[in-house]
Amino acid sequence: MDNTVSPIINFEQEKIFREYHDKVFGYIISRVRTTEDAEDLCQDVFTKVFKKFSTFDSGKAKIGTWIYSVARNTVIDYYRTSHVHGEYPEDLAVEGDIDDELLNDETLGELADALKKLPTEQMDIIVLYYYKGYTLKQISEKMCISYGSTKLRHKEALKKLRGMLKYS
Amino acid sequence: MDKMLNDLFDFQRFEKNKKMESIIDRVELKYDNELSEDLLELASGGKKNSDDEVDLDKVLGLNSEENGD
Repeated sequence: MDNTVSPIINFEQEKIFREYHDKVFGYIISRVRTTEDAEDLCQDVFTKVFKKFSTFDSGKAKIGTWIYSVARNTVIDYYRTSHVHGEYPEDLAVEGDIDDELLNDETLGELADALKKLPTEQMDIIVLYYYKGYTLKQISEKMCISYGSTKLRHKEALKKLRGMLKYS
Repeated sequence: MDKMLNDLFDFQRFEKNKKMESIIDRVELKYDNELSEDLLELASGGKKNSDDEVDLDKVLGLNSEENGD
């Protein structure tokens, strides 16, 4: 039996909860140590979201983008507030690394456009490294190219992306 | 740049942008061995490394006879 108190207040919030709960939980569970912590943090996220719901301006950002920011900051706070939670994950961004306003569909679209302009191998390396989380060594084995070549193409890809993306 | 890409791909896992998703799907299909193995297993009727010839069209429901064409 679930003893957690639901933060849902009305039908609209229930709809949002149903739509985003799994996404938020999936995001959090990959970043914290236990399922219990993930469930607690997920609860925290929606409590914060519904607390500030009346102040959310849909003209400025999509609801999903906002919920993602709340989830991300909640996980960051989780590591900051207690040392027993272990080391801060390397791939977890800290505040200031990227402007929250750039975390949106449009920016992802721009990145996709930029990736398509890269040579195929460079694009593949970027996706395998940053999305799939493979190491460059693993990528070199998958692509059947030398580790040195993989490192070089990764570096070249980043250089080209830096030139193409106006916010980098 | 590194952190920025981590952030953006992180966000992509959450709110899937369609353009980016099609790029990712293509790369996954090309390189993801697990995915390829699962597909092969499905195609061979649940028998991994089956030596029997596999009719992918049949497995994927593209067989014209079965569809009544």
